[in-house]
Amino acid sequence: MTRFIPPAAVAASLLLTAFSACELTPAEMFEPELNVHCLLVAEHDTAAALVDRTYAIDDPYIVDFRGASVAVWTREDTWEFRELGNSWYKEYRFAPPVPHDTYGIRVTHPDFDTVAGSTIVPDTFSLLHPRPGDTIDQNDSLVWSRSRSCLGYYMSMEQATRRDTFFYTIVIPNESIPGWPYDSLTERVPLVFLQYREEGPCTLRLCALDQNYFDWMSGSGQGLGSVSNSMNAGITGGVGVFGAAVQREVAVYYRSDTSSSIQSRRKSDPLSGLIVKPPTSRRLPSGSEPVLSPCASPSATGRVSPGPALARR
Amino acid sequence: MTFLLLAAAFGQDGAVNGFVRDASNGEPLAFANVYLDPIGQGAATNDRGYYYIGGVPEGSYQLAASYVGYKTERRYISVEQGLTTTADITLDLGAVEVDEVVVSAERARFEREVEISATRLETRQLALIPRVGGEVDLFRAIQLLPGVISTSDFSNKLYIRGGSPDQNLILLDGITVYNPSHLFGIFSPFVPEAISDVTLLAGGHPANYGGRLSSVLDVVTKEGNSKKYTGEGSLSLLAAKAIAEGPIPKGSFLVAGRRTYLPDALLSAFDVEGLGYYFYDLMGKVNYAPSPDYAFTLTGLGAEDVLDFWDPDDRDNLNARLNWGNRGVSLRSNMILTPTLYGEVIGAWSNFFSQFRVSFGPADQAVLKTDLTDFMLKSDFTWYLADRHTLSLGTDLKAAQMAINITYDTTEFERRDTIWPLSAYVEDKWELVPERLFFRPGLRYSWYSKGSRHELEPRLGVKYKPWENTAFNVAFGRFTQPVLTLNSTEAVFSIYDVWVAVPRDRETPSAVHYIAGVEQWLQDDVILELEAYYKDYDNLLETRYGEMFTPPDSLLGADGYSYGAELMLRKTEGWYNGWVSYSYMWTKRSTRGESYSPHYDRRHNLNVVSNFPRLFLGVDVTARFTLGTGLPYAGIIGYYRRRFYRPDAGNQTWFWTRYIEGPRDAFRYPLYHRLDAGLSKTWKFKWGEVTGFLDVINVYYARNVLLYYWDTEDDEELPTRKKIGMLPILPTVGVKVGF
Repeated sequence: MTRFIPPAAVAASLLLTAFSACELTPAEMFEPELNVHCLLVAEHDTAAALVDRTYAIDDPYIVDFRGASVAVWTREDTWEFRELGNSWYKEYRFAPPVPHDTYGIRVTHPDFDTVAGSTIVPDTFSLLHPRPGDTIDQNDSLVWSRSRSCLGYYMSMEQATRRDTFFYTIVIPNESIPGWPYDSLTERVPLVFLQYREEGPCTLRLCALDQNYFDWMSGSGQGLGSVSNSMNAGITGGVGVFGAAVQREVAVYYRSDTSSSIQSRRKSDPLSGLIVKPPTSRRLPSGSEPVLSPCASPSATGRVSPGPALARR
Repeated sequence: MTFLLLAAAFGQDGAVNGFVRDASNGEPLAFANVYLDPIGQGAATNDRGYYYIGGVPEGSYQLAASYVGYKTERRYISVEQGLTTTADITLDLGAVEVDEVVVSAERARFEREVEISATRLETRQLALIPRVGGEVDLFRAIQLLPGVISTSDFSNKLYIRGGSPDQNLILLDGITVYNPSHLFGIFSPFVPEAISDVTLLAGGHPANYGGRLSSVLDVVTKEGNSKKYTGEGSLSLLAAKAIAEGPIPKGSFLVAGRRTYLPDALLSAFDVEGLGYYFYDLMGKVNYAPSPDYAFTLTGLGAEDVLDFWDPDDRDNLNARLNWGNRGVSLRSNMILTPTLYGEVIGAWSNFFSQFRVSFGPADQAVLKTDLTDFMLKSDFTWYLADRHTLSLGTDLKAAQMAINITYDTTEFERRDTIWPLSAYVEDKWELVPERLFFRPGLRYSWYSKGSRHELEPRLGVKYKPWENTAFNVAFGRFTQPVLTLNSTEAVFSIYDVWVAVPRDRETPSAVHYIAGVEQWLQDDVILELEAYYKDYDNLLETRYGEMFTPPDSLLGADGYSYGAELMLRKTEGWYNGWVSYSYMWTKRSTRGESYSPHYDRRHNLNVVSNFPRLFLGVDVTARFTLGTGLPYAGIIGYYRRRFYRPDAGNQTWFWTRYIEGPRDAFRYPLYHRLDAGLSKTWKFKWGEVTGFLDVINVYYARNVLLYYWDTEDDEELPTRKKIGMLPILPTVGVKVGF
């Protein structure tokens, strides 16, 4: 018996087939990778790395990602980091990084591609103004001698008051910025952001960043440098960053009454005659993770949400 | 060639010319069929109702003019050797006599013209489409034609054969309209009742059009009733509208206006404070014909959107207004210089403006203004050299100035950019084999002042009619474009377009069209059209992917192509009329080594537009159905924690959750489908008529997706995909009163 298929049915079937959109699912397109964060700080004898992974959009986040091996080396030594849990890996007997030295990293995990990278520790620098114990106000500037080999600086300010802790962070490129006076020996950034702060002690900190970490910070939407959406800086085989920094800090007293502190500034700041435009503040995220300090142990995980321009804790 | 043409021009046969108009209101009838019995020689009127039949042997003939919906007019004329007989014809509305074959405008074009990828819609056909918010919209109707893609229910932008919206030349009586949208793209700024007809040239258009890569939308407004005063008013949920027309000495006028009122009322009803919105359209036209051979038409256009927002608690604290719109004036002169030389000269001023004014107090005010002003002087001459040659030539001279001005307190920034696109063209319509084989070769030359670029744009159209009801068409053409918009290529919404000139150091964007097609009349009022095309783009300039705004100097160079096939089955008259259109399309762009499908690359698109006049109890029933495959988007495939060091926070690392995007066109939204339906009934009275209508958008409430986004709830680790939908089911009612 010959079966007859009406042409209209054939046409309808073809049309429906044609109109059925074929698409890959996110899971089919996603390739998981290791996610590494490691910043070597000059003159510190502890080094730490956070290693977890990228996740498909439908996968839950694994707080206690384990099983990676982290090795960091320089010309003479290699350090195998110890796994502490909660994605943390540390070495407590790390030889303090020296400016201009090159360091390498290799992170392996049986289920992922190996991540490798390298960094060069930037040149050291000094904070010139203010001096420890100075009284400053919003008309002051933070002045430092330039680190010759860094790409930029990460400036921050911490003030503990009765109610909260105030943070201000910004990434500043080491190169000449259009509209800013440039001095090849020193860099100056006005502290205008202090104007709404309460009077009291505070700490100003500055990190000179290598190429990798500067790119990473800029890509995080902070600072005056170009914004890169690159998912890695200084590493291959995964996402994340392997960078190096030199850090300086100074404890001062902030006074909201400007008349008296100006005099203090004039005494101690030989570069006070310069006029500098204010930097642009950028948003900060508010997710926080365990303390990286040598004496702290990893504990809490952070919240996933963008933070305000001036984050509070 | 020139010698031959001139020799033909001075041939010894006679000729017949004149205008064909509607007897009731004096409106010209475009593409009416005019022919001589018994020899059958004839012509179609042009878009101004003018016809010319050359090469007529001396003798007496019956001159007939026919147009669908009108009684055929016949009269006897004598044609003398070497002379032109002028015969203006008026047609009365009325039923067609038994056994009389009336040729529709579409059929007349099929018989006489070499117009490839052209679709013409008349006002009555616009009304076939169920209304959104009670408003008939021109662009909504155009979106249902083959090769035209709409990306959302909220946008009236036209993506034609793989081209972006800024590649469409939109003309209203010769005025270039740069931003044809209201209410963020839901409506176009044309009052539909004032439109006579609209022609979409989806590709391969003739040499008299230029300056855009993809298509031409030529909107012609009515001239106004030259016989009697008439008016019409309508109320819908969204807007009030009025149109008036009537005679003036030796001419006519037409005034039309529309203003929305619902948004304000709606916002108040929902207790939305601090927000107000309205738009209006004004259109006016005066037609003056001091002699049968000369006519002048003055057209004015004004359209504006106004969006206000303010601090409901303290208006002095925040008060802002964003307004934008189109303005334009054109003066057109139509001339019959000699019976064989018909000319049009248009001078037009067109302006698109936007202004954003925000104040945070009496002394703290910022203003951002953009402005695009376009002066145009265009001339088109048609020389009927002989019955086999029609030579068109003309010039298109423009000066366009784009300006941006920012004022904040005492600081002012201004940037102005002026370009002079100057063009000239020549084109011949050559009937190589009478009523069988037509050639339309043309050449357009353009000089763009910015970068002093010279561009040659050859065009060619060929039509071959081997049989009475069948024609094969081929077209080729090169097209260039000196301006573009800076809108993000991925933007779902855009309030208005920002136009800029192609930067001096960039090549002129260009496209080459190759088109082949066949037309087949199945019945007197049923035509089937099939076309295939390939478009090759060079030197395109694209905005940067993922960035909200790309400055002109940072635009990315891109190449690309699109190809596809289209089918249209159209029934123009009868108890059921409408069309079915299907488009199959591929579009690719390539920039910085990355090849991707832009967000308007819809592979399959099907539209069905149906109209059943007086289906029951004198009620007209209309419906449209659209089915389209999903549009591409870059979806999120994963996420990770992007960490950074916080020395100021106890040496902690902090993090953001960052999403990992898949390839730019890796995902496609779900199938799009929507059915709209409308009912309308007209009651006639001695003083006029009243029409009531009910339209339902998205009858079965298809939950079409406008876009996806990913979000993380406060206490939730895993980002989830959420969607924003398109129009829900939306019934609207309205009433229209005519007198």
